[in-house]
Amino acid sequence: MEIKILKNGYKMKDAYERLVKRSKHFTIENMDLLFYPYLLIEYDIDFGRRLEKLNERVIVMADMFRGGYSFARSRGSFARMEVEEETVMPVKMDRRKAIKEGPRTVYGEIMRKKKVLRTPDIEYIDDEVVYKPFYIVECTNEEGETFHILFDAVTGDFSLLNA
Amino acid sequence: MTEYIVLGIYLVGMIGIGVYWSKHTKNSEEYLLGGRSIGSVLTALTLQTTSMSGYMFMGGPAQAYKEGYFTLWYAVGDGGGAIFNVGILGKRMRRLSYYLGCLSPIEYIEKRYPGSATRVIAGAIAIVFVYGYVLAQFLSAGKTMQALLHVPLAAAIIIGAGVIVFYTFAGGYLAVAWTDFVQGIIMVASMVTIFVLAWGQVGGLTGLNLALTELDPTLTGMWGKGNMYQGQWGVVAGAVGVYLIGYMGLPHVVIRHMAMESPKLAKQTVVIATVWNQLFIFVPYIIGLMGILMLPNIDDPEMVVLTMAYELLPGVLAAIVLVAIMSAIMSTADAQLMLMGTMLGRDIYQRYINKEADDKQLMKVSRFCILAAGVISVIIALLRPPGVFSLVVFSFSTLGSSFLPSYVGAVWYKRGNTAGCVASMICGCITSIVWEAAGLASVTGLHTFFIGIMVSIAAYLLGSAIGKPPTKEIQDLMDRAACKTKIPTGLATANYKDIAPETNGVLTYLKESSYMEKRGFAAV
Repeated sequence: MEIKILKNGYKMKDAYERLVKRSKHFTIENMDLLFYPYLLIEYDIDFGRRLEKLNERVIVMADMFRGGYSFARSRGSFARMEVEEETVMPVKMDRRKAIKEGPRTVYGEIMRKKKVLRTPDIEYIDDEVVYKPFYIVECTNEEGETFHILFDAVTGDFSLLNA
Repeated sequence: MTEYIVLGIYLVGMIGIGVYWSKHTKNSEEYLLGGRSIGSVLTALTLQTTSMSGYMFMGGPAQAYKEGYFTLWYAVGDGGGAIFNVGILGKRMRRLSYYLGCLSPIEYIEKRYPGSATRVIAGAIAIVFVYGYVLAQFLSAGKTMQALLHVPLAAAIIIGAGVIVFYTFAGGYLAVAWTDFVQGIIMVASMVTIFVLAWGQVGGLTGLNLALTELDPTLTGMWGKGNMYQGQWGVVAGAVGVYLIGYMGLPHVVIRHMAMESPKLAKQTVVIATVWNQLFIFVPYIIGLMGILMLPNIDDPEMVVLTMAYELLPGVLAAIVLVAIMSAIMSTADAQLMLMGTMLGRDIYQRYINKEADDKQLMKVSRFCILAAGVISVIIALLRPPGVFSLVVFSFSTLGSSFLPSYVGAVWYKRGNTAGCVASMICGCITSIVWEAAGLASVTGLHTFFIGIMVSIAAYLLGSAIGKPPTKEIQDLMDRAACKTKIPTGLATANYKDIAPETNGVLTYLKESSYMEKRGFAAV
């Protein structure tokens, strides 16, 4: 199947090198791609004319597998890619619900950041489903115990999966 | 006049820092992410200055002035609090909160101990007693303004609180880490300067001790002035424990474990914060002791540091001290008011009053609550102003008694469940309030925190024994947080919290699907 993905800054080799740089006391046994679904939603924030310097377009990333929202660092760049179906996680969340709930994240960020008296208008602009590539990495420690790492192929962040 | 000029220069400087940094960020994401590039020194100073401001300049020295060396029991606990807190909770809590995908300490309690009662009770206790802190900040601000502007206390409280509430609304976004950092440096520098100058005047520690002993030998004793706590080990245990282990029960403190960018940074931050604590925590108390000799007739002991600043420093420097205290108080109160407003809006208004409230309404309600909290605080402060020290210690004791067993049990006690958490919060909170209100501490010789925490722990264990055990999912997450597989250090310290929700999602998918088998992996 063909999907639209966020371009991965880390190829498999880069991910491997980044991990082994962190420690010499483990071995990487296997590594493969997995694609996580998001809905990128664009909103315009309008504070009115008196505070127009604060007006901006923001992007909320809705997690379409578990729910939950976050601000995107930037829109990012995309590519289309042919992938095997089992490597694509299913979309479990409702798109319309995500668009409706997205402004809550926007208000939350405004509340935290700008702390201005005026409550802005938030207008929905556009949305699209994109997939973010992750690597599942299987490792063994010096005692031969297996553990897994989830490696974000876009940012290079990683996290232990089952340890 | 000097004070006004210094105040003006200071405020312009703070605004300048805010404007500089706002111009050096390209968009909102970068603005927010800027915080993630903050180093450990900056983080440590920000954390410490926002949590200690008003109390350390007024409450602590005042208590030392009134009770003598006994007050150092609090400092001893406080000095080791950060290490204790991180040693017991740090790693596991960071991991568990990460796995649960929590951003706030109340959300963490709610997800670890699922149930509507958990959120309501935790939210209510947090709101009321964080409010105690806000009130203490307002009182500190009022007293500082009184010294600065030479106006009656009532007018000073109105001006001080008004400035804080205005700042929360209009200038809050200028209160970025760098302004806190500058404030932190000025706070430490001014406190240490006063300390060094006073040190010379009283003849050092030896001079201080000899003079205090001559004045009243019990001032240098461990049981307080007039041996008021003689043999009361329960009071001593409470005084040490309230800051030694009490931090583990404070929602706005444990959030630090959750909010750190990486455990590696967390470790450095804790080391720096602990060193900073050793430099800063004992000094205000000792200044309070020096005040007994240098300012024997002061009307309000909470003004010891401010009065000494005027007596020992040239006019401009004294004014800087006052302004620094004021701004540090402002940045603390600003954050607490914001926290309260959000909790009242989301957890009370949306949940019970208007379930259909949209975000715009919610934001307005939150802001109204901030204003209302400000006005009510001013009224309370004017009608019956409590001491900063007693208010902070009481709020601290109650929050600690209410939450400590639940936070510790969340990562260490697998049987710990919702019933235990709810019972512990209710019993700990009520015990603490009743003990304080009835003045039972002096009657029984047991400190409010000591008895509160004992009752709370007992309730937690009893409730957990009776109630339904946590779900298998939560127990599995606790196992993961305990991390029994030996993970190489470089990998174990690199859990990036940004991908916490995805980690849980991927784990669920891998367990549900045939991905691992088909792609040649061992099962997760």
